[in-house]
Amino acid sequence: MSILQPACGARTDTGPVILIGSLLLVAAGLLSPIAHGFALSPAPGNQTVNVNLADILQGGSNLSGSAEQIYPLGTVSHTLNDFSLPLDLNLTGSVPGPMSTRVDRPRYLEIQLSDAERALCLQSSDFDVNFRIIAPSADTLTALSGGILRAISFEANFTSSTGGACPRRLRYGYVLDLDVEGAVSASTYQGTAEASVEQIGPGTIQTLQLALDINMPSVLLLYHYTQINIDVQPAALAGALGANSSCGSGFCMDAGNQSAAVLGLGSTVPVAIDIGASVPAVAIRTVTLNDAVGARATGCAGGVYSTASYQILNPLGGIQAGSGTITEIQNSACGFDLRTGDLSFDLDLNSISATSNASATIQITVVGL
Amino acid sequence: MDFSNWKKAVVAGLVSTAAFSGSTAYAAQATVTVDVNMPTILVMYHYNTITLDLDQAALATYLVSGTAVACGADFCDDQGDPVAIPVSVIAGTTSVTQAVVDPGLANTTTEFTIVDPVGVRGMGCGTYSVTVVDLSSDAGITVDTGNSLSDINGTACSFALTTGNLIFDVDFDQVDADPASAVFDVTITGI
Repeated sequence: MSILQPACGARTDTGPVILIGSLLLVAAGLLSPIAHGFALSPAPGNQTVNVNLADILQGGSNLSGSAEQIYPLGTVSHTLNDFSLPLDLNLTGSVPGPMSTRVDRPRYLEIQLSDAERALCLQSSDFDVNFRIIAPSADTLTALSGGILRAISFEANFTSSTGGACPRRLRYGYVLDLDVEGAVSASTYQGTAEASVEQIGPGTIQTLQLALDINMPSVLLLYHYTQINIDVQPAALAGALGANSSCGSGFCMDAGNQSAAVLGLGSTVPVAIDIGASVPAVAIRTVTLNDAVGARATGCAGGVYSTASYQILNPLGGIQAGSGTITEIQNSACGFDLRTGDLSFDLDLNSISATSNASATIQITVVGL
Repeated sequence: MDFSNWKKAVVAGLVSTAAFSGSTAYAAQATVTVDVNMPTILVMYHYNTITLDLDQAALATYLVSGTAVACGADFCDDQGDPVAIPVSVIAGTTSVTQAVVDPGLANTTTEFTIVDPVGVRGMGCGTYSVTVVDLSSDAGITVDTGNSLSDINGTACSFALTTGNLIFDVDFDQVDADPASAVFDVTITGI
């Protein structure tokens, strides 16, 4: 503190001069050698690391640099055995994972050697340097606006030295592999790391706590199948038409028993027993495709997907035009954890064709504002 | 002109632009093609048991052509009153013979047409082909195999319900069971 105060008798109107002098003294203090052993200090410079989108790995492959990314997952085929049951398209099983990133920083920690150690001409190989995240909890960084990053590995690596053949300072950086699936916000994930340095031989250990700040970017990822083939099984269609048993190679509906009173007899007697009264009307059936769409995002305003919807376009062969909300995604929390949603469409069995398939295009829109 | 203020204005403008660009909306859109492959199918609708309750008076009237009259809970044919029966020998046991005159039956057979008891929906086939077989009908009941379900036979397959009539003859003169029953096996094939 004394170096920031004017000396006794000095003019108090020479602030800039005194300030410059103080900075020089501070710099000189940093450069002054320590008496014995070694000392640890943060490497100079901004410690915050910005993660680029292209540095984020999804199943081992890098994301692109675009804020909106769409991942088509190809063709999926399913058999529909019962119109009353949804089809599980299991998009989760098709989405590549896990999601991680590697943060590489060349300057993080400095080891300053005393004259005695320098006389021994110690090198980086004489020190065992380890990093670990200790706060807010072990191996975890958190953002104020929510979300976590978990350390998969946190390795120190020697990057440079100063002072010639017998260094005065050894500089270390780190390579930090992070599981980012807990990321939610596009903000700074903060934590405290502990550097532990052991001088090999004497076994002297020193530790230093260092700030660790990682900036995550905003991104919206949409996953979808490009083609969904649904093979309606005969039993499913028969069931939808009221058939309650198989008979021969086809299906039957046994409408039970029916009685009629014959009040007049003649050579011919018509008796009305219309099966049509017992046959269920051919209905519009809803086909639900569970787990058909997926999304990941960071940086959504309000922390949620503001819109997740779909439109049935170009309907043919009984599929009905329409639209819907992907309720599993809309208004749910954004995050790099995969969130999947369902699609559904109505199939009017009155309008299906005996000679061609039903088809449609489903347009999916997911918005994170 | 004070250029220092102009510089400040430019800087302020840039910062403001940066702040707005930070709230860019992120929206992703994709399309999925859905193909629904429909199967070939035939569904037949039918009743398991059809019970016809014939009206007693109607049956009696039909059979005897109006000579029967109500008689308690049933019907009688009054053979005339009085009937004179000569008795020439009287003994401890005397037999008096006077046979009832059979008035004859005006009608004995009826063709029943059960209207639309069978229906079918078909998809992916051409036309329906129908066979009706009498499995185990009681005596006096004969299915009309040629005309039964003729409304379905040869008709184009369709998802619209196609119904057909079941036709059979009853010869009351031969019916010997109450209730009389018949079992018909109906087969509809999509060609």
